[in-house]
Amino acid sequence: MALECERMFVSAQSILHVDMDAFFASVEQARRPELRGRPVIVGGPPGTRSVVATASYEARAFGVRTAMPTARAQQLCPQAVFLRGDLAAYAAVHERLVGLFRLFTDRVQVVSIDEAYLDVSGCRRLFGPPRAIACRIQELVYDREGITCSVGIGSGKLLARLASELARPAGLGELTDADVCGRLRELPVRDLLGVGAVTEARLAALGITTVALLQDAALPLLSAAFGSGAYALKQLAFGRSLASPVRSRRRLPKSLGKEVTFDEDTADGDRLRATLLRLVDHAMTRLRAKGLAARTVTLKLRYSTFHTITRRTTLPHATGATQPVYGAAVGLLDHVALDGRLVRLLGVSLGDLHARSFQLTLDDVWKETSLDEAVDRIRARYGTASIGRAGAALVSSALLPARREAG
Amino acid sequence: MKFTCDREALVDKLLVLSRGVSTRGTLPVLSGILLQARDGRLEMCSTDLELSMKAVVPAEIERPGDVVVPARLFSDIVRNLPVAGVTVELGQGDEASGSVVVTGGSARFELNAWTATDFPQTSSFDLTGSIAVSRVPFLATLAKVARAASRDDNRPILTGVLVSVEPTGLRMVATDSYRLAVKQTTLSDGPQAEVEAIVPVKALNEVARLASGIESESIAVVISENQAVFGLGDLVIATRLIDGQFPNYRQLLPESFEHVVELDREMFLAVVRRVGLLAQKNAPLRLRFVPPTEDQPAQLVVRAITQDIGQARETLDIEYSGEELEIGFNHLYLVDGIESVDEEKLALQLITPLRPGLISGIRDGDPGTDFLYLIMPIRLSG
Repeated sequence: MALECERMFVSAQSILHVDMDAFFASVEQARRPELRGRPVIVGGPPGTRSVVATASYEARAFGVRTAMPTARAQQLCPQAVFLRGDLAAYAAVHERLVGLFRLFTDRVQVVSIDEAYLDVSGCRRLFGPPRAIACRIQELVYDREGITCSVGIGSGKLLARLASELARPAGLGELTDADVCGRLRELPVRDLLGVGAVTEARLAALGITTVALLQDAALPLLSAAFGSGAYALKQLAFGRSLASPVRSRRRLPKSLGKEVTFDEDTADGDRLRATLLRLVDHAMTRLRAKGLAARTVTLKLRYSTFHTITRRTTLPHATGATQPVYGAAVGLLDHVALDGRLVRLLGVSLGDLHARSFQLTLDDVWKETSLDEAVDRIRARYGTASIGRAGAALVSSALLPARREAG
Repeated sequence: MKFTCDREALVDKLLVLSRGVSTRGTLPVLSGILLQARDGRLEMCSTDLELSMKAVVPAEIERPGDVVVPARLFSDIVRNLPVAGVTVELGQGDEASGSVVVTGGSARFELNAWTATDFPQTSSFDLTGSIAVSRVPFLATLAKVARAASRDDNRPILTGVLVSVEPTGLRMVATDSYRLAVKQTTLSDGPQAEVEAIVPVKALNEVARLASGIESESIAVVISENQAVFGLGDLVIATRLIDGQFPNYRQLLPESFEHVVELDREMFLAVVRRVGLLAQKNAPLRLRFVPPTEDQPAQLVVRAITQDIGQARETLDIEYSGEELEIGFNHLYLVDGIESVDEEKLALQLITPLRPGLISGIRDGDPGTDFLYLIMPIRLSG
């Protein structure tokens, strides 16, 4: 009975999953007509160690895939146009698209720059059935931005996402509850949202490769391999996700931090402070990008012995400004008696996060805010490494390999 | 040293001085009170090295001398003695051994004490050459600005109040960098002197607390290079001054504002307090000024949202003809500013949501200039 009720409840939902087709490449083709119909690859230049961010469908025909090294992409598709990418432009399109989705419902969950879930359950009387809304969205996206999107309709996020996956590019798909026992069964387990490479491999070890096999698998068999996650996994096979419904309002993260492991352990105070400035600077840029302000600052320090200490302080006000946070962090660092001990790792974490409504001040912090904003704008356009604080430059990038930074 | 005095008079002053002792510091002697018996009176001092207080009690001196007694215990003992007369005596013969005997009736206490030479004499409490400042205007002026001073020791200068005394009047300025309060008071009998200093707000609050109970109509003030001394009848308070350059408040005051909104002080205060209940955890109080439409007058919509707790909203009819504007403030700062206005009507002057707002009382139809409360907004997330 409980299950029956749950199903009725779930069926009442109409979720759309809107996925932009080859988003970055499409935006480039839309604003540069000469690129239309040609293979376009957005990513770093082929000579470097960069990877493909997006490949247009013309390029995909040659086997080019997202996250493939651009060098490999060039081998596969030498005639492709390689573009560095213009994140600011893509973000602007994204903003407009989200605004467009919000015309239909306020329950929009933005998953990433090129996909979103829309809960249109309550919109039938205003805009018609989900399929009509999906068509209208595809038309509007094409009219306004000149790019195409795939829309999946389902009674839950998982089915909607699967439906859009099956419909791309530029398609419209729907997976009904009837499909759960039909079409869905034909698919490989990997197509299920929530089944990644690891789960796929562990299922394969049990001989489970398709959704049908997962649907029919005995729960005890799954429990042996997946423990308490077995039930959730089996629910996935029926297109039911235990995950939350469409969340229109993002929850605030609890904290946000950045840390770095030194290539060589150090006890040099100047170097620690300069590194700290860099960490704070970058963490604050991320914080501001999320529209947040922080009130607590936590310093983390790991000695070469792996003994780890943390020190925390609370600011008078939540702030999004770099300077007061750095001041607090340095204060914490200066209070730690290193006594010549070598430091292996240094980290800073910002807590007690608030939506970015931060108290402005009458003096220097006000100027500082303008400075911070300018830095963020430059970074959004030219990348994080394009601008930094002079103090942080004491530590050259060579000393701090970016690969080892935990973000 | 040996003296006898009245228990009540002694308890009275001990209570005052006990507030001035320092119990958390590294110098144990600072948790004591210095007793100096001479010339027919008992002088008592306390200090936390920044704020020092002196009180005088009439006493019958049998043998002059000095000693430092633990403040808390000594006060408790004196208060609990069975008779009105208290006798305090330092062990005879060896004045340095530091044992004080307190007797009243048949009760006898012997207390370990510090020698007077251990006690840091931070002030001479010298009131020579003092200027007399009228007590009531002084306290009223201070009350308007004290709350705007900072409590954050990271910026010492802002924990002070800029006090200026001139023949024409008295001016005090305080800011914690989130708001700035300026109060100018005209003195009919102003002192023939001009002094200016940054006085720690903590000391001024102590002066205000003690001065409200005195009979004298004026406060004696001496401001020297590094300290200020306030004479309040038989109490003297001395404080070190804060060194440095106080922010130039004239530069911080905008030259002009875009909008002037007239508000009923009581009504606005009540709305801000009410809606402010849902502006917790530093959440902003949002003030939205809406110009009139065909069917409704101009409105001020006050809103607050606290994440995970709830939200509140209230509307006030106002006179407003500018463009729609929304600005956020810390509701506590707003309350401080509104409360400091004496007039029935106040003016809230604004420029943009990211520029400071100004609160002042409305007198004869215009925003007054004797009290100015500049308040920085909270940038709203959109």
